[in-house]
Amino acid sequence: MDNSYIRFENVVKQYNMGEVPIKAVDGADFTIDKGKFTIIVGPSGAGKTTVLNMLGGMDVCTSGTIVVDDVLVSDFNRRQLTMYRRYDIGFVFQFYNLIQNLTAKENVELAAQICKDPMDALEALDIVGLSHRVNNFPAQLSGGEQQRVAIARAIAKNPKILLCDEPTGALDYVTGKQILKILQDMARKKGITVVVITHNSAICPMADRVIHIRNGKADKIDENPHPTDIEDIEW
Amino acid sequence: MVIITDALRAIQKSRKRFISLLLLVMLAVAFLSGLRTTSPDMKYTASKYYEEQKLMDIRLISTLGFMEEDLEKVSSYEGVLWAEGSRQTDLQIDNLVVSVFSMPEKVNLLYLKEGRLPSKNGECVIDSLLVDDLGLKVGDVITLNDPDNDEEEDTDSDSDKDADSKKDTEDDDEILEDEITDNDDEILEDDEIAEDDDEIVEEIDVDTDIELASTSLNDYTYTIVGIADSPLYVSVDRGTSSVGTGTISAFIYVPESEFDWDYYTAIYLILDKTQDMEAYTSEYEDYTKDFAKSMEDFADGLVKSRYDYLHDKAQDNLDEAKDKLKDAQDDIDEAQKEIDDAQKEVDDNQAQIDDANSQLSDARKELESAKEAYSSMIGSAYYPQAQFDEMQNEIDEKQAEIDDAQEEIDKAQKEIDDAKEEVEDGKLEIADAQDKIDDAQKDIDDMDTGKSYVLSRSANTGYMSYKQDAEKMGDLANVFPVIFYLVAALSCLTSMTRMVEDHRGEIGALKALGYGYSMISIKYIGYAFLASFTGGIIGLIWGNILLPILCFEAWKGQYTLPDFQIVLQPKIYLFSVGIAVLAVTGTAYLSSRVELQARPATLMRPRAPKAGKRVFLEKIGFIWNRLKFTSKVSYRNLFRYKQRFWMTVIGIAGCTALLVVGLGLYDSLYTVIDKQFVDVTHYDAYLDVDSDAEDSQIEAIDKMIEDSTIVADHMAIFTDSPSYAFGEDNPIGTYLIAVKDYDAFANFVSIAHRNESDKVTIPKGTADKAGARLKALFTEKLADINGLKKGDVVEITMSDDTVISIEVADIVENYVYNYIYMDFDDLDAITEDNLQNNRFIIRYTDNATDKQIDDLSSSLVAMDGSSSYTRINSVVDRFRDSLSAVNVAVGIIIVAAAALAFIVLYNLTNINISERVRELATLKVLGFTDKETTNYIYRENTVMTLVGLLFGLVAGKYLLVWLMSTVENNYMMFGRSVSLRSYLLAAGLTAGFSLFVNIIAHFSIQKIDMVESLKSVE
Repeated sequence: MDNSYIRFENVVKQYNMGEVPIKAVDGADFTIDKGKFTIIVGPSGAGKTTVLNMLGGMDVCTSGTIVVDDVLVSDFNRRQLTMYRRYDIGFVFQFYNLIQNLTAKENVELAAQICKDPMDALEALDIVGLSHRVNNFPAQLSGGEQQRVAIARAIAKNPKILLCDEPTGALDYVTGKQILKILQDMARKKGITVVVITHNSAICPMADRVIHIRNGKADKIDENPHPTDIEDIEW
Repeated sequence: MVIITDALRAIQKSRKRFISLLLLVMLAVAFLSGLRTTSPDMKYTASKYYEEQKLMDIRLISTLGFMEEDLEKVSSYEGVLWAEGSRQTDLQIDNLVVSVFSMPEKVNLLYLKEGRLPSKNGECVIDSLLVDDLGLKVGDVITLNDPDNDEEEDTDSDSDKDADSKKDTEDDDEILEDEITDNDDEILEDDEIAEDDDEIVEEIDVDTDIELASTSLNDYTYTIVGIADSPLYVSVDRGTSSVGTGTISAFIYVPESEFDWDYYTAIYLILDKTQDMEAYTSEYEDYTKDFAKSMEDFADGLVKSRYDYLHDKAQDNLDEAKDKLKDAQDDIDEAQKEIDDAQKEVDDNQAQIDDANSQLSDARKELESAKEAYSSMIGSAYYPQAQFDEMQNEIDEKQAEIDDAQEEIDKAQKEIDDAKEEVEDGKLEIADAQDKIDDAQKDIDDMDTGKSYVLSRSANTGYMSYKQDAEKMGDLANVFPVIFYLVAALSCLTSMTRMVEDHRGEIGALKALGYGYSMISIKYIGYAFLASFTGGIIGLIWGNILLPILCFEAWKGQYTLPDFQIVLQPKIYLFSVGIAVLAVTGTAYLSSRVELQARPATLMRPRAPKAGKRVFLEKIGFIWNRLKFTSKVSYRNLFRYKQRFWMTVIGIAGCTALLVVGLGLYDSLYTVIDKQFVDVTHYDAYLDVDSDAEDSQIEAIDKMIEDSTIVADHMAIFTDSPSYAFGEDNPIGTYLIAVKDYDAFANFVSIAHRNESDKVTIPKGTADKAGARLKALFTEKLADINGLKKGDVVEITMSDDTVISIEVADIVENYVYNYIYMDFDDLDAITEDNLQNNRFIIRYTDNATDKQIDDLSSSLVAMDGSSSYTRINSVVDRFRDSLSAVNVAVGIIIVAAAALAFIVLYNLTNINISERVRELATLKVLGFTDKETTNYIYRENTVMTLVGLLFGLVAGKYLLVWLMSTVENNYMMFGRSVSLRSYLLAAGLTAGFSLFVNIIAHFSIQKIDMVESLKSVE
């Protein structure tokens, strides 16, 4: 466990809402392996978004340690967190968060241009199967296509972790499956560490590891030695 | 009501928006209502003062004065409430000319600032200006120069005359005493002739005195008992005089009993109907103007009867003198006759004596021959020695008798000769007297028939210039707030639109819950109303107190008025707050309406993101490809959010334009003085000559100027102020100038096109006969207001009613007053008037001291034929003073524009950020540093600021030109150019605000929570 790629050790996140301290994450302990497809699942309000925020460098923990690739992320200052987000994290949003004024290709390049060793934008779009729509603006793309652009934008940075927040939340069933397929392939074929956060436990069988969050704790960690292909999962 | 609670919470949640709305409205209202009310406040303050001091409505003056019965007639004139006669004379305290007035009873009351009013002779109240000029205080004694002792020339000649006549009388007396013979009667009569002559001379003198108005007072030394202001003089201008330096420095009021005059110099009227009217209102001005016009014939009648009275009186005196002269002539004739008789008698006596003499010499001869005869008869016994002796004795006796008689006759002859001489003298004297009488008769015949003037307050310099200055503020108020409101309203619109858009989901939810239009919109309308109303009231309060007082304080240096009074002007209050509330609430209503029209389902769904678009810049590949993505986004964003782009650009442009106008106003106002009095005109003073001055008098004046060591250059020109030109408009400050020698004139006035250094020459020889069309140069403002261009022809009525036709040869630079420059000979030819130069323009040497200049001007004004002297310095000072007050307004504008610029930029940037929170948060999640994220916004702001700046600078320039033409009056053209410094300053200020706002924005961006990026699109 000590050699795991990502380690959450007794991580606590406490918000002070008025006079009452609320612990959104209360001693979360888990690890994520490199190159694996991991799903963090839990009901609303369980603290999974807070976990995501801390893992994505968007928030800091109150206590405990977060280690990514042997680096103590929980000790980062503001600037270091920014650099961490910049170089190590590829983020896929529930609502895609594409820049409306940039074409698909440009949206990918936007992220790529601030990285040290980015992937070619066209290549990234090719990977997500969008090489035919590179010059379209987000508004001209369907939701699934937009999410694929978002994934291309995330992987173009060659990040250490591809962090996905409910990536299918705004998509229909079929499209959602397509997206999950792409993400699964990222881990399987490209060896990217993919972390998907969702409340939909139906997709859990496709992951290498499933971390169940409940009441701010990693309630249960399931290992899947043989994950199911997304095509075979129905919900 | 829950919805009200919601509305109140909305305010709390969006304090920034609420406060910026409130501030915008406050600023706009303060600015508009403040400037708007300034002019009425100023007028009201003055009006109250006039009312309390009973400033006259109409001033009647006549060049011949008014009599007691005139005053009665005026008092009973219809519509006149009260009429009061006033006596006034201009005297000097050393070199300072002061107007001395008789104390008023019920009109033009003095506003005592210190001490009391005079209660007996020898006491006076002085002008507060005199306190400044001479450092006088209550209790001091002032001595006025007695004109009878002062005018040395006149006094000397008078006493010479007196001495001469006295000598005559004494001589006559001697003769009288010497006279023992019967001729003395005649000589007595000669004496009478001499006396008559004297009387005639004196009486003629008296006649002239009446015409020129006696200026003598009972006292010339006064104790100051009080210091006061007069409503007749609210400005520092005290008018001009024919005394001393020609410029009146102050007034003094003395008891009426100091004036032993039988006439008034002016009659002041207060009218019935004006009692309920406010000064400066058009109602008042129209009424008094019409009243004055209707009174003109009546006043002419008064002057006519006054003329008749003076004429008859003078004629009577002269006729009396004529009679006496005739008597004298008769006496002389009689004397001549008596002398002739006496001569005859003497001649007869002489003949008798001569007879006696010859008889005697015959007798002597007889005696001699008898003696001889007897002596030849020697020895004759009888030699009648005794008889001979007796005869001889008899002869000697006779001889002695004859000698006595001869002596007596000689004496008589001498006396007759003396008498003759005296009669001859008498005749000469009579001839002299006759000449004088003839002259006097001519004077009486030519006597000035007098002119009357019925003047309303608009002829009072102080009253009028105050009005113009107050209105200048009003003009500023008309233009500026409009732009201000526009910018503020735009900003509010953006804010409110944004707010309603923010609340899309909420509106949808409320609608879904069954709330109606009005219930939902009440939140937004209420929000806007609360912000605008509160802001409006706050703005109203401080704007209405601060701005008018600031402006008034600035004007106070030039006007002697009591404390400022704020008049309630509900109309303006209602208007300014109403417009603001309406604009803001209206935009809230409109923007909420658009959203409210939508179905709840649509509202609750996220609004479809606005499609990205390619911009034209992308077609220029080599530029576009080099841009970073953030730049690309910025440019695409600029064009994508067109509404926001234009709002921001217009907002910034508006503020920049306001700043340019504010600073440009300052530039234009201040430079105009230097431009006019340094660049255009180069003379230091001018002396006007009486219209009926004789050539010899003009030559004498010319020589005096020529001989002065402090005059560097001078020139005589012809000037005329047309009585009628260019339609109905009073051609105020328009002068016609005709010069003989253009080259010489060019040393005094640079005639050129504006912004060009070339000289424009006055066309010469363009007209040679009466009624021909003359070519002349017109100054710019004159051409401007009358829409004249090169080649246009205008007809101008000169002051003597000659109508001349002038073609515009060219239009030349000039800023103060309007001039038409033409050639003297040409004008002379077409008017056939035998024109005479009537103004000397003078340039002093650089080292001439004020004292030397004053001395020279005093001597010049004292010269016969000179009329008034004006020093350019005093004109410049007046303009400078008046402009310095405008500068306060300009300062207010600059500060307000700056505040507006700041709020607008802040507001827009805030909106920009809040609209893009999601995008910015996404960028942060993607790993953009704070700096990179801020730059992302900055770039857009910078571009918008730059575009706005550019528009603003150009718009400001045009706005200024337009504003200038509304602010400047008919006789002043302000500069039209904005200095580079002002452009830079305006641009710098706006850019500075933009930068400052961006710094604040940077912190807001830093604070943006990345979690925002995870939220759904609302």
